[in-house]
Amino acid sequence: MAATGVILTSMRPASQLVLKDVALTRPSSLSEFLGELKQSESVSRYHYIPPREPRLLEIPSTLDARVRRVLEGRGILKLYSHQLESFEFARAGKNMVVVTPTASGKTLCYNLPVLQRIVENPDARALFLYPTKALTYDQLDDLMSWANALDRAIGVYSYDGDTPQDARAAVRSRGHIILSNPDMLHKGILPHHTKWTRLFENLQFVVLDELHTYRGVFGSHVANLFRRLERICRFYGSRPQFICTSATIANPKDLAERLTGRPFELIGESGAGEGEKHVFFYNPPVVNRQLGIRRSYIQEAKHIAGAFLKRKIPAIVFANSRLITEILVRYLKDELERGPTPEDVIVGYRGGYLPNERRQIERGLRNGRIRGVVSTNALELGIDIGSLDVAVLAGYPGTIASTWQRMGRAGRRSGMSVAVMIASSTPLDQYIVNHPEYFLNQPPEMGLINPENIQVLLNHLQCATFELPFEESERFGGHDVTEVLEYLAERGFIHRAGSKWHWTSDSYPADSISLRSVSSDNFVVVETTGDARIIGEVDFSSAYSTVHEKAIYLHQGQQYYVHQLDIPERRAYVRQVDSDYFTDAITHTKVKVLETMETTASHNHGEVHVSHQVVGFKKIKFFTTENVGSGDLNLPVQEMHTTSYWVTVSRDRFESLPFSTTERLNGLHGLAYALANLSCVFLMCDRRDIGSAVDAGVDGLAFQPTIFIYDNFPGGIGMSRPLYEIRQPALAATKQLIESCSCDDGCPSCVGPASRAKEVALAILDVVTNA
Amino acid sequence: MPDFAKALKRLRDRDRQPYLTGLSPVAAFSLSEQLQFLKPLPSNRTTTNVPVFQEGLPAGESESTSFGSHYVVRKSFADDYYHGKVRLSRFCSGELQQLMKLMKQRAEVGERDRIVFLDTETTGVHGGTGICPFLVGVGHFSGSDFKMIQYFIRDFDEEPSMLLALGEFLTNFDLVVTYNGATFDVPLLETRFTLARLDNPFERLGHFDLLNTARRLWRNGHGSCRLIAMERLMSFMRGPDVPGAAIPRVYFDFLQHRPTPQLAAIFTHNTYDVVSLAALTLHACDCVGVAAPAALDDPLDLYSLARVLENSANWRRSISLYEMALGGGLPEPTRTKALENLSVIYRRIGDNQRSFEICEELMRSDVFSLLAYEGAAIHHERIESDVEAALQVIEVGLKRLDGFPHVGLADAESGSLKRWRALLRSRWERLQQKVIGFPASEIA
Repeated sequence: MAATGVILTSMRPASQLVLKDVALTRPSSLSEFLGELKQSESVSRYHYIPPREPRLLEIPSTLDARVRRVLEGRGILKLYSHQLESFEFARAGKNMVVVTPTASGKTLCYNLPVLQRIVENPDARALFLYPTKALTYDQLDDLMSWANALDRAIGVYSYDGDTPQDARAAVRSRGHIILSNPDMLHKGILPHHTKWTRLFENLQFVVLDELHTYRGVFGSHVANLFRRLERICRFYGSRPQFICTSATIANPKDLAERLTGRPFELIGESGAGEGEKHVFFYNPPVVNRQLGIRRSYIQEAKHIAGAFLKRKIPAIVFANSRLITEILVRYLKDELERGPTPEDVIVGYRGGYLPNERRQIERGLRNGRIRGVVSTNALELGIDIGSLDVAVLAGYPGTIASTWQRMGRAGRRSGMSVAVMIASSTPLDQYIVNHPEYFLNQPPEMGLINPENIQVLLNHLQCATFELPFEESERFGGHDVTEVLEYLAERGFIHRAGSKWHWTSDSYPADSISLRSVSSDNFVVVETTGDARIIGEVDFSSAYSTVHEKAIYLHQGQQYYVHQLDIPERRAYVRQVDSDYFTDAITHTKVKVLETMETTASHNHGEVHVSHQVVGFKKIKFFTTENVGSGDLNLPVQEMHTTSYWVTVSRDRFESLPFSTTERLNGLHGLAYALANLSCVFLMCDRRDIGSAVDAGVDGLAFQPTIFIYDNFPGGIGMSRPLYEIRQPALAATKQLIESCSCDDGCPSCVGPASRAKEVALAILDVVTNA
Repeated sequence: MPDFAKALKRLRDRDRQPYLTGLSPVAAFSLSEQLQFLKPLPSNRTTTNVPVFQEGLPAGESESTSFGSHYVVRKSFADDYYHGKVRLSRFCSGELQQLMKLMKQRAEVGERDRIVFLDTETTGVHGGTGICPFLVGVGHFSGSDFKMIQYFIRDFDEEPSMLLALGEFLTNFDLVVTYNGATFDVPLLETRFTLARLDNPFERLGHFDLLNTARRLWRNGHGSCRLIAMERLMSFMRGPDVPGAAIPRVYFDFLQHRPTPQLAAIFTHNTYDVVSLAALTLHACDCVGVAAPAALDDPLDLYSLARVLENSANWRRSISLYEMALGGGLPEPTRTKALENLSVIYRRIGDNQRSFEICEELMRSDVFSLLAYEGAAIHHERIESDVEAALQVIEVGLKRLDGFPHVGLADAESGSLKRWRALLRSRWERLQQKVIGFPASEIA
């Protein structure tokens, strides 16, 4: 028996030691180690993806000879089929969205047509938008070397908050291709469009990279941003073509069309070759069956990643939070950077690192100096880090699309690669790891947006009116928005003169509107340990639960104690402390139905009123997570109107279930918990994007016991209706999850720990699905 | 089709709850609070006070263009008008040309009647295309009179007409003079002309922004260079005035609830700004003119002017102003800086002895002057060909630097100490090399 084969299947500490010994004495190859992994009992599914031959086609004769020479200079003598397709669509004046995996030569899909156009017409301009600054810089160097090889007169510049003031005028007048991000377009470019007349008069292409990131609130904002862009382009007489690229999602064409309001062509087939890939679904072994406790997925991730890294196999580890990223870096450094191993073979990578540090890490990964990296989703997008052999996912990333993106970070165009998804004990992860066929067979999630969210719309109508007076007859995103404008006029933001609405406030609206959240309102966190200084910001919606008085606020691994929350001034005052616990707020949520839009038997969707109140908090010890105390809080109720899916349980049948009242309530709450988690699987959303609540039907708000799964944003972002439509598979999956969970009464992996919760939840499910 | 009406109704309900409103047009102070200091409007300033007319507007007339109409207020300041102690009609375009030359401004001045002074009142100061100039004041000389025209829009739809008239009016001029117009008024108006799809009149106009000049002449002596602060130089007092920050609100109030009594005060404010701009331009000309320094009595102002003259290679006048400033008494570190500059200028014009004397004086001073040691060493080395004496001077300087405390210094201070030491050190090494024939660093 191969010694290492046992290690992964067993949870005995002794066998882990064996792994270390073996690694030191007998470094094995990737394929050898694969065999060991395959034998592990904890692997719930092994999936093999065969290699794929590239589909290469001749460079089209329509390509300008100068561009062709540069291509040939780079050793590109043929194009992948998707690159050729996009070139042809672009020449035909179409908008297109290119959906191909990471490292499939996606950038050429837009670089080629854009450079061709500029070579043909030196007045032509293009705007490239990336969702993050890091991606912009990653692309900038490459694009600049293209432009330089082609013609030194082609200006390629990045324009964002880091562009020095004195360089901005030069960028505006000389840039043929401007690389920026939506936030800068929103705050820095559109509100000053008269300085950008050259760009807007000649704008022929807008490139939108990583389209799939523009979903939810961010996407809803960006859709409105493009409505504003369209108005400005119309003013200057241009109508740019859009080229989008996206990771695999279910509705790329639809999302692109909703975002830009234009018809799109889809390029969905990648012509790039791919090496074979071995995918493992790994569920940490159970250590206490009754309570359903499994071994820590973080420890397991350390262990598996460590095993690869010790064999000198380059690996990337993805964690789902900044905190876990840092913890894993420390664990892996402790284990690997000892003895003859040089320092910094393992590094962390996440938001909050300085740009220079990030560039160094990216270089180190490309040239192989850095062997392992632990990252948040920051490296999920297309930043060039070369190719690694192994991707270890510590926890399910939350969406199928995101999982494929992360797994795609390991893999070369030829040769083999390995991806291991390690499940945590949340219901979401447990469902995926126990039903990998769902993951493997399901098309990835939808990118959902709701540009008509009234809050978002109000924000952008302010910006739009600021940028250009709004004509009385003008439509916005195809809608007649007169009523909305009238509301803004009532509030004194705009004023009608003649046939136009004008901005009539001395503020700069884009400044107070963030594209990444619904409400512009936020709290600043002020550290008062020494000289007062602002160390962070908290969204209004999460402020009461994260920076309430006596909370421990975590920032950059440091703990701060909140000693005052000044609500009118929107400030939280904190002091640096060294505490061994963190705090978890207790929130009471009440949901009231305002209007039912659609209803079938006990299933509904419509508009609801949600009120949250943070009523207290628990103190939870680091690492052991024991509850070491609590406190009461008296904070204002937060209310919002949003959209929701809800399911009602017939009161008679609920009350006739053969359980105690408490047990019935536990079951109802447990079912809500499991359903909310699984709803995230079926909608492409983060767990925080949706909320769940239960109304037991006792205090008169609802006559029937009800479970609400609502959009956790004022006004809703369009998830409730799709959830209503896919309720059958979602409920079926919930049932499957609960039934197949190995615990007795209920555990964090299914309905949460409570007496008989599992049994009751299944009984209630039975009532609602057979209603 | 989304149901906006329903969503808005819910918002209106929500707006009544104070903690939940994310939407309010920046109201730290109520309008009435903002405006209370305006109440006692100036009553006895005959030249700038304007009678109030219909809609709270000062007496003027509605004028029509092919784009519609707008409102224009005109007034005139006669030959004998004094703005504070400055008689406006003394203004001379030749002197302005000299001032601008001194400030390295290339624009041509031309005739006095072809200079226009401009200031705008706007709906905000943040910049961006949503800021509208609702009142543009322009002043110009016509014969011996100074004429003032104010273009005003009674609502936003009058803006194209106003811009058309303004653009046409500006064709009568070659040079526009502003206060901070380079960063504010001119780009703002250019944006508005673009938005109205009109030709940009500023493309063919020369531009002189007096703010930068004012800073160079008066910041050392007076600190703030806001136009209102500058008026004190001319002994002009405005009396009660609308603070700039309140102006947008007054206009918004007018748009909503006309008439607004405070609106007239903005016309007055704008008139002050334009006339003060013209008067301050004249005052600046006086200060740098050959007849000066009669207009200056503050040593710091003399020093400022000396620097301006030094920068434009007016050595002789610069020397005499530095000497006068020093004679009048300058505070440190300005005194040291003045002596250093003087020493350099004397060397430039060939008066090596005087230059060296100043270096010696500086070396005796408590304030360390790098330039003094360098200057003295240069003098010894090049003029007297005495390398040994030059080395000694540098050694004295280095020794003095070694005597400075090493701890407890601000970063900037310890930074300059380091820099001084390095500079003296490398000079010393070069001199040493000259004596011994090979680099000193190779000895050890």
